[in-house]
Amino acid sequence: MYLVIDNVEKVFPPRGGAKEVRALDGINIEISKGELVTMLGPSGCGKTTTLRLVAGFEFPTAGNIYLDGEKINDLPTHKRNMSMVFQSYAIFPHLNVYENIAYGLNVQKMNKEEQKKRINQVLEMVHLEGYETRAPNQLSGGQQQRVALARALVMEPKVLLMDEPLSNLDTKLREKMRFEIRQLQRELGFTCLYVTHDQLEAMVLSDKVVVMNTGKIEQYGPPREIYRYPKTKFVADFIGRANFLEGTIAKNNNGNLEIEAAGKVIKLSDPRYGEFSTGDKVTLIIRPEMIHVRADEGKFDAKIIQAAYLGESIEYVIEIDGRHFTAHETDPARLDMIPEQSAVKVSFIENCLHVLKA
Amino acid sequence: MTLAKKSNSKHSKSGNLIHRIREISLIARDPILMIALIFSFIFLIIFIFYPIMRTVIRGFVADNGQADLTQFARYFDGTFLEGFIAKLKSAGLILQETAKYGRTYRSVFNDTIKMGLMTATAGTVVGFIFAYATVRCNVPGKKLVHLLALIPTVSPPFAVAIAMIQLFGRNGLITKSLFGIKFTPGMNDIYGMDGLVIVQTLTFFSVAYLMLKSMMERLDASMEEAAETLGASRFYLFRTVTLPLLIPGIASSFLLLFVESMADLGNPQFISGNVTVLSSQIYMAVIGEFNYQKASALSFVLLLPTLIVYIVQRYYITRRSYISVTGKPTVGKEYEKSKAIRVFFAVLVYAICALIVIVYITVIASSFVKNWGINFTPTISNWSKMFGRGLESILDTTFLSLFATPFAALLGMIIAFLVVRKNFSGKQILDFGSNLGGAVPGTIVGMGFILTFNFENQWLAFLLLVIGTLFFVTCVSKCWKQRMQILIPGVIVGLIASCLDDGGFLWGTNGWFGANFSKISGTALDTGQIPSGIGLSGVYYLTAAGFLLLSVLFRFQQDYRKLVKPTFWVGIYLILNQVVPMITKPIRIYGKQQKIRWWKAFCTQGADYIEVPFSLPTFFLGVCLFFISALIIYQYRGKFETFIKTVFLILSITILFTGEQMKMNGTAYIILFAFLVRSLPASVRSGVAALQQIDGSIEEASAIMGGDSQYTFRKVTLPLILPALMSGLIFSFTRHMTSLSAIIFLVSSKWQIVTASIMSGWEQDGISYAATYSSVIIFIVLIFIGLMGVVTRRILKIDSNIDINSGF
Repeated sequence: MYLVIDNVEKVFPPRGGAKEVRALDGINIEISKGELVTMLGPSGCGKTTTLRLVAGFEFPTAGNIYLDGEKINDLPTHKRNMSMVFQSYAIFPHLNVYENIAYGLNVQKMNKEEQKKRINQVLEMVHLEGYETRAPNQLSGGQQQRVALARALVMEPKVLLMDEPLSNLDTKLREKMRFEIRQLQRELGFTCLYVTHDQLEAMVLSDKVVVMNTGKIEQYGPPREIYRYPKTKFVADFIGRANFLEGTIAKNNNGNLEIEAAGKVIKLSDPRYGEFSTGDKVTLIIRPEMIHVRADEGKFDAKIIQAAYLGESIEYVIEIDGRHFTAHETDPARLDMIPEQSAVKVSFIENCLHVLKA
Repeated sequence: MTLAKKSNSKHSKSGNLIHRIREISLIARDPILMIALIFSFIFLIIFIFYPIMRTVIRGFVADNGQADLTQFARYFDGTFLEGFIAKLKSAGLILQETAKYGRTYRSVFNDTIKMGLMTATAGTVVGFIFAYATVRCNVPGKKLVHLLALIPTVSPPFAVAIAMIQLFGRNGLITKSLFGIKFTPGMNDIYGMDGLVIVQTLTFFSVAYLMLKSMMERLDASMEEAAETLGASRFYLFRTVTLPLLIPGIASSFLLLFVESMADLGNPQFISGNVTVLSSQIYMAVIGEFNYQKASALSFVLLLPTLIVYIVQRYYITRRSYISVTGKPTVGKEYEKSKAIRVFFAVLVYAICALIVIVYITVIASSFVKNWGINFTPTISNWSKMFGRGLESILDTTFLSLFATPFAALLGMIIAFLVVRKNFSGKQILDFGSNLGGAVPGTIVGMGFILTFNFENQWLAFLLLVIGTLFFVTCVSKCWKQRMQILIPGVIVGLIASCLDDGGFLWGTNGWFGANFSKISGTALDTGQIPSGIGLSGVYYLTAAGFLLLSVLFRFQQDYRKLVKPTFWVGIYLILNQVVPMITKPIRIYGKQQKIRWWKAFCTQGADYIEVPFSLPTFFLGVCLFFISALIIYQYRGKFETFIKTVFLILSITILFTGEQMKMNGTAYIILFAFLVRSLPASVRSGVAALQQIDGSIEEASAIMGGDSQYTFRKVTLPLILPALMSGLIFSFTRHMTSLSAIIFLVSSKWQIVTASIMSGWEQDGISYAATYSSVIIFIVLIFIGLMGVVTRRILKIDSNIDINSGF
């Protein structure tokens, strides 16, 4: 493994009236060379702290960080051969675009011609040719973002760290930049640790996603697995949206499950559920798009509480057996809204549901 | 960031300690950062904490070294505590007479407090009027108003007093010539408490003005607009929203003015008449009675209220401020909607501005008049007299002020950087200490300096030795065995070598073995005979030779060629310390034979000035050598590694302990360090303000791209805080030129300071002569500010106005 974060804890001591803060509570992450790993979580979950530990701006209270087999806990930031794109971009306001990008190369005392070659290359990559002599305050937000990216890329770092680099851009630009970063990463093959609180960004970009909450890792895996098979209710709710339904295993035949829930029997089959035994209490994770709301046919009797037209879909809040569920109707042929308060029939796409031990 | 977990307190305490140690070790990985940190702390200890402590302790100790509470007991003479005093006396804690002192002591104290309170009130009111007028009422010509309000901050501390005496005194232009008032004894004239308060108000209101101005600028107008939409009337709104938001600023400026007023020495000395205040009582105790115990005790009495007020202001009121420091100023809007109020404030402000203009015109005008109040014939006799007799002190003052300025500003920026950007235990102390030197009354700094630096301070030197050596060995070596191998022989040989000059603390006259040894061995030295030694210059040449030899050694190692230059130049510098006086001596002799006054002064003073950079006090030079040596060789892994590192340590210790160590009385450096102590707060604060505006991630970006801390500081931080550095320079220079109370006890016949000359000479030479000196100071300061402005705008190409507020 290329970058290893091994059982790292970080405690900020009490200072100036503030209480002691346990920001990280035993974090384990392993990243292979050339992988892009995203850390995802609500604000305050410790993802930026982890990034800052890797960068060397903070030091771990316990645990170790290894880069390429070498322990780097005590290595000063400037010797780590990493680079970072900051949330605020941190572009040097007193230097122009070219000088900003050349900064790290100047530290290395690289000769000017080599510098020029490398800088022109990255400028082309981030589509900033012709902007060399601009001052940072003459650039738009997106351009500043590209300068920050170019400045980090030109170093050909061992690890590229990104701290919510797109959070200050508007939605359209953000979507575009996501794909550009993904493409650059695929082309250049750099190892990247990426912090975001935007789950879509994580989905688009990552080889693997680390979902964090209150200083702990909730789940670590490829995006698809995290969405399809969340390990905890927190992950299910944080990545995408989820309805929870409590149930009991009625029958389990090597993963062919029958679950009693809300007075009905739900059947699904997946070999990974083989371990459940009859009588286990479980929670069913039901994504809104797995709920079919129909006027006439369906397993459950329900009532529409709220209906909202979203353009590409309709969002219903329905009530089954006293519980509220959110459902999305995405079928373009069914975008006629069923009025609120009307009684409906509801069924789940049962084989797509996910089962968690309650 | 996340939930705070409860852990048992014992565990968290030890964890806390480990954390603190690791924070320091994090900084220690970067030697330059560590040097900055240690150097700042050494500066604070030697030049701020220790002298203040000496002053405080000296007040409780009689001349013979016994504990003595006389000075404090005198305050309670004639009160209900008399019985208690008698008891203390019989217990032997009061050695001198206390009877009949009570009334004078108490009245001085009461007058001082009264003066402080009145000046603080009046100054805050005037400051508020100015701030409200410029920020809220948008008075026409507010730029000019702003500049006029700042003039008192750049003028010598008694300029206003001089002008007031010339205008309203017994022979005053207005009182006598205009109204023809004849003063008879007993009449209420400008001299006394009321005059003093008026003068101090005009002198100090700028502090309140700047503080309230920046606060009002940051006051978000939308809050008031919100109140208005909720139906609040104008006055109701002012009472319930505006004023409460400004209360912290008003309180702060009140307290600061209180401190400034209590500490003021110049104005009371000129204008207080029969009223005596603490600062002048202290001055008289030193200059008139040579009673250091009394002066120290009174200093302590003055220190207590000022220190308490300062701490309250800094740590209580500023915390309660609702207005964010980083908020963007919203200037130029006309918030005050009522025209009557705008006119009212404008008239008030113009009137005070007119008074300021008249004051400074009077100062300058009276320097060109034969005998103000009696004979208004224009003359330049004051000026020619000053250029004759006073030229020396003007040159000295300007030179010393200039020399100290870059160091003050740079040290200020470094401390600001450490305080804002780095995490370490003791940060609060660094912050507090760097501001302390400017916050306590200058007389206390001055007292502390004479009490500390008129003597050798072996224990302080040992403290430096411990700090310096510990730093050196941890920096140059990572393994405990090698550290010991460097430490033990280094310290022993170094200490012995330092005694080579005249026996030092070993066999010197007052050394540990000197007198005793000769007693035991029966070979008593004749009185007055100097113990054998090679002399101070011998030690200098010896250490210099050491450095030169080391540089030769580096020359022969391919990988370490780059160490040759710094080592060589350190050696050369040490030799120059001894050689330069030989060069300057003939210049001085030549100068003394000259007839033309200015040429004579130019030569003799010039000779002195050339010597200053090459005559650092040995203890300070020693401290610097520790750091320079460590920087030169900490990465050295070549031949004789341990030996060479030990030699560097030996050389540093030798210089640290040789000669007269901390004795600096009568030298330029005692004044220079006093200047630094006094001007440090202004540059620290302007640095802090500037750094807080810059996102810390900008420096982190530099670090992660490979820049170490000094590269980052040089290439990123410094360019970004350049405007603050420039205003730090201006502030420092102004503070140096106009400082009085801190240096009045430190001047010598060789190093004279204008403000001190005025104080000691105005009664004989007349007030016009004092006005002449004051005008010169004002001119020099204005020229400096003008030059710095040009440098900033033309050469450094910085558009932004130098933010003169940031120092407050």
